Amino acid sequence: MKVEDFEFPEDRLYLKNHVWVKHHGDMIMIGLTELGQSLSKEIVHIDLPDVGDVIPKDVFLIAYETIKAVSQISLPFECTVVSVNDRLWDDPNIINSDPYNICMVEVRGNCDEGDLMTAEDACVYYGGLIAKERERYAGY
Amino acid sequence: MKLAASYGDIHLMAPDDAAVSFFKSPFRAHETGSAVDIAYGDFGLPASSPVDGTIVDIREFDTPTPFKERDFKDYLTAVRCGELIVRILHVNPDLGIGDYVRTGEDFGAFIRSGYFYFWNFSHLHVEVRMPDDYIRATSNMPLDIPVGVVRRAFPGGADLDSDIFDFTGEVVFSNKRYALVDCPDYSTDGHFNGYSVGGFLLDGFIPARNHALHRFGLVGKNRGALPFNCFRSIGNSHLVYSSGVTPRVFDRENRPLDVAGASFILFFGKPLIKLVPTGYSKHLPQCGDVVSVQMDVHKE
Repeated sequence: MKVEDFEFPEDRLYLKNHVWVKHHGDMIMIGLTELGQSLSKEIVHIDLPDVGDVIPKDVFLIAYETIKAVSQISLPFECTVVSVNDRLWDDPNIINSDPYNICMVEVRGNCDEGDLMTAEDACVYYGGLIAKERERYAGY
Repeated sequence: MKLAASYGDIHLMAPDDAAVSFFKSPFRAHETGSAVDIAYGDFGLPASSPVDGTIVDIREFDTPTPFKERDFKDYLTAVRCGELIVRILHVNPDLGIGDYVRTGEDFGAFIRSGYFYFWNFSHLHVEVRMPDDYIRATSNMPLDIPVGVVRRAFPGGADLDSDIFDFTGEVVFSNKRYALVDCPDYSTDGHFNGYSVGGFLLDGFIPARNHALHRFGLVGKNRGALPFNCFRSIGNSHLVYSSGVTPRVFDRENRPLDVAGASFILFFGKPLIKLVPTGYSKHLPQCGDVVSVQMDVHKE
């Protein structure tokens, strides 16, 4: 599905912090949406957790930086880190070029506890957010 | 040129007609008192270097965009000053790597990138960094802010330590993006001029609608207790929560004007208050209108 040309594939679920969540066996893949990467262009640094870390609900799991901004990702459920994407250490900007095929980390946890959106719900939510964001650029 | 800020013996200089801000921007370097925005001129007009040094790096980069097919470029210019790097954003440089630039010399033109709001002035974003770590948003180094004890610029103004503020003045500029109000009852430390509460110069945007987590800056040598709830103190400045204050704007007949908020920064010349509309081209007072910007401060 799309909202304002930004893709929200229907094969995964979404959080309100620009994160997508996709089940893969008993694991959950975590990544950044296309809109999320567009609002964080040119990611130049990322801090990933260690494999085996247990991250409580709403505690920062990942932090990433552009040249001017810092963003942090937390999940609405406790998780255990199963793997991290080692490619991101050297080139975090690959998230910007291929957001739906770059999994940042894989975790185990009960994501049913969290407030997850379907692609349809995400399009409604992010449609409103895009409209608000675009107000900043009025008159450009 | 005037001193905007310094780090050790690196002095960041600004034109005499500039205004500066340490805390108006929400980005990380401003949250740690590690960046100064130097505002003057206009988009597309020349920008001058705040330091002497050799340009050692220029990077064009993409900035945030909520439009799939519209990119907004920005530029990072790294100037070597002794052992350190001065990194400058929001200027499209017309000099090259290896060129030496002097303080006050034009080195490019102001641009508007995806980091801007429609109501922002053209400005340079300036930080001092280590030479091996000047690309990412963090790894900031706090600046020294050259501010002293704040006092009223002219006698007869409101009590400096009052918790009720009423800045009344005339609108001297208005367009679709913002209106500028000239209120004569301003304050100074002898270097920066601005509008003060509780003995501190205001530096930041204060929303008219309550935003509990929104923050703005207070700059000045400490005169005692802060009038707001503090997020972080950095030398002679403080980043505070705006939850204890709500600016209200009234016209000459004391009718409320609907604005998004008021923006305060530090001027070397006569200070102005910027009124931000609720949206681009939304209603703002016009030139010649008399308005008052009132704030009640309630520390929680």
